[in-house]
Amino acid sequence: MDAIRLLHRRHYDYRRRRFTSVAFKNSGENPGISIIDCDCILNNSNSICSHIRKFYQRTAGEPPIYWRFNTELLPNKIELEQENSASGDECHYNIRGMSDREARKFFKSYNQKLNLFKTCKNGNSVELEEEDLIGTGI
Amino acid sequence: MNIGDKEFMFFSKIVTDDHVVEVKIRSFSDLADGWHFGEGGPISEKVISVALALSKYARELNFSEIDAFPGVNGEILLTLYYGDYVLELTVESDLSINVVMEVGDEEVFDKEGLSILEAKEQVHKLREK
Repeated sequence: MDAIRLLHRRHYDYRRRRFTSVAFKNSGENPGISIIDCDCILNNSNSICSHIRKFYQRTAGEPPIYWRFNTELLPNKIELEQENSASGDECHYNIRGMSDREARKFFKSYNQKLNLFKTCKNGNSVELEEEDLIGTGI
Repeated sequence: MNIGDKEFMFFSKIVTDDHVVEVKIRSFSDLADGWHFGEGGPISEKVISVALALSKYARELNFSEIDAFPGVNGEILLTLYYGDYVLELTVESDLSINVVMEVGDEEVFDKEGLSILEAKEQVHKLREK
């Protein structure tokens, strides 16, 4: 599955110039890692940015930031479970069966260059730059 | 900020820097419900207290670079930087602490479920490097 993981700018570590492990971690009572199916977004005639605006505008942080990746990169044992988000997003899935330790190591292996991540500017997806994150550090 | 703290009086620059981290940690109690894409909420006072205790302990050991990040499960990730070393201390909502040490970008230590005393021991070990 071609998927995106939404990232919050609160989780950017200026010192190491990368996102921290809490940006890709299990959450909830039935632990899972939230992702969104890109094909589902496009089948609904939405762009990724308009989809984020539609379902996560109040909670995505500003600007919205996301990581687009293929779930085939994840360990084989994991399961993808469709579950509507609290905002009613039918394209929302949970990654199940991945420990926080595995998630940390997996995310870290890709979390090395800032331009791997995207942000939304004027409704368009563009490469994330550090200046987009200004104001989030200490 | 406790202006009268000994640390502030004798290590004013360091305490000023770390003070910012402590303010940041305390601010996590004001996070809105659902701040992280509908998940997450304010961090509990107990978790904040443990994170502050670890931050202050690191400050006592003269760590000058410390940062903190809130998690969606009510946890706080505290990061201490010391040369090429980075110590990550995650205070979970049940107050257990997970510790990861990196050198450069490589993980060299990883242990879960530590007590605050055991976590402080890891901070102390890093200071001795």
